[in-house]
Amino acid sequence: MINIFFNKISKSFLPLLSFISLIFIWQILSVLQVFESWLLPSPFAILVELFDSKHFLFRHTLVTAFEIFVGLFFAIFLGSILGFSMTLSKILERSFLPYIIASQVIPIFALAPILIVWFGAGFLSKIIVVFLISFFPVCIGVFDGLRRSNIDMENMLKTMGANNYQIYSILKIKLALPSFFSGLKVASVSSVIGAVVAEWIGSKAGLGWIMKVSGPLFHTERVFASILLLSLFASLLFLLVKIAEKKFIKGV
Amino acid sequence: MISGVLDPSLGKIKLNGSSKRLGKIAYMQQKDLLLPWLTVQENVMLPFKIKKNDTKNNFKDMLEKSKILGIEEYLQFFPNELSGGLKQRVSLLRTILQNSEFILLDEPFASLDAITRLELYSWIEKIKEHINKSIILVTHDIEEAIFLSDHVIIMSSGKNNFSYELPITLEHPRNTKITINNEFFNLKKLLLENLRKVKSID
Repeated sequence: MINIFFNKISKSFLPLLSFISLIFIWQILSVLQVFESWLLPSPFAILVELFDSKHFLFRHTLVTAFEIFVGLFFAIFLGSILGFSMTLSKILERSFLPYIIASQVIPIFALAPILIVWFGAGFLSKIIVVFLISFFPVCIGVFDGLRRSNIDMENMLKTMGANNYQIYSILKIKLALPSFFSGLKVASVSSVIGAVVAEWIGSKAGLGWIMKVSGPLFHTERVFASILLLSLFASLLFLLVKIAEKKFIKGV
Repeated sequence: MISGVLDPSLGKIKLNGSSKRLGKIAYMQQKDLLLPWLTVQENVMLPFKIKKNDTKNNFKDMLEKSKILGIEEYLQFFPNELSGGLKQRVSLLRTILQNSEFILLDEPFASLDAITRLELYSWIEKIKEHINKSIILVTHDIEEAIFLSDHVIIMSSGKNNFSYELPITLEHPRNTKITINNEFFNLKKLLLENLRKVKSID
């Protein structure tokens, strides 16, 4: 009984404890001026910056979030359509799949500058980078999920007189959901990276832009505040996908 | 092949003169094949949903038969919350609700333990009274064949095409006690003798 109790506490409490200790040690080292504050600002200074420039930071978080959401939306929409069509037609699969996979060897860092030249330093180029980086996991997730069907269940539905449309709506789409959500989880994390990279390379707004301009000005609190916001946003996005996954996948 | 999922490479299988069988023969397999994301009720209503006659009358029909099979209290459960025997009972109910002319049971008890299997025999005996359908049971269990059937056919695979028919005259409703009476014993002996002709059994 005591053991179970201790297990429960240690599961949620110990990670928190180690986190707080780390922050605490960091703060003490900063107060003792072990390292220069412009190199590594204290946790408290970061919090102060977060609070003082909250309007400024919030506005730019919204910019980044907007790029991510729009890019991710199109990746989910078009990725699902292409993934779905490739399971329906061998011709589509053979003509697209090799290139979708091959396109992943091009690093997004190399592609982003060209996209910014083509589509400008505004939202469009960022959305396209986010789209490109999250399209692949979603598309492959849908494609693999739909192919990994259960032939016995399919046959059972057929003996009930189900048509092809019903086999998809009742069975195949449901069976593909776990794979789709795995893809979406990967996409949600990498989409944040995509947005920041694109902002870094050429933009006038967003958290990536803040990091880029604040660094050379030795405004390191601001860089850290942006990193904090960005990780918070990425975690939130991941959590959102997990909640959706739980809602859609029942009883499996 | 009987169900229509596969077509024979030679010859024809006809049901009332037509070789179109999909949707006309209810087919229950060894695996329960319940969709894990649907409740028991949604699972057994599936045949109605597919044929788009998800009506109140059919729902009542389902309730009635679920009572006979003793699963009415599990209707809101998900399949993974049920035992193996219960799952097969749900699967049996879903098969029956297809309202097809024939019911094909393909070793539906093979994955169950001996006691659960006996229980299921009684459930089948019970529900048989309420549905007026021909049932084809495929099995490798001699006692199961005698207990549940009115007519046993031994078929062999391969080229020698041996088949043997035996009517089972035991009275309905049957219970497990008959498995130890003389008549049952004699039938079993007869079937075993004929099985020996195709299989190497001592």
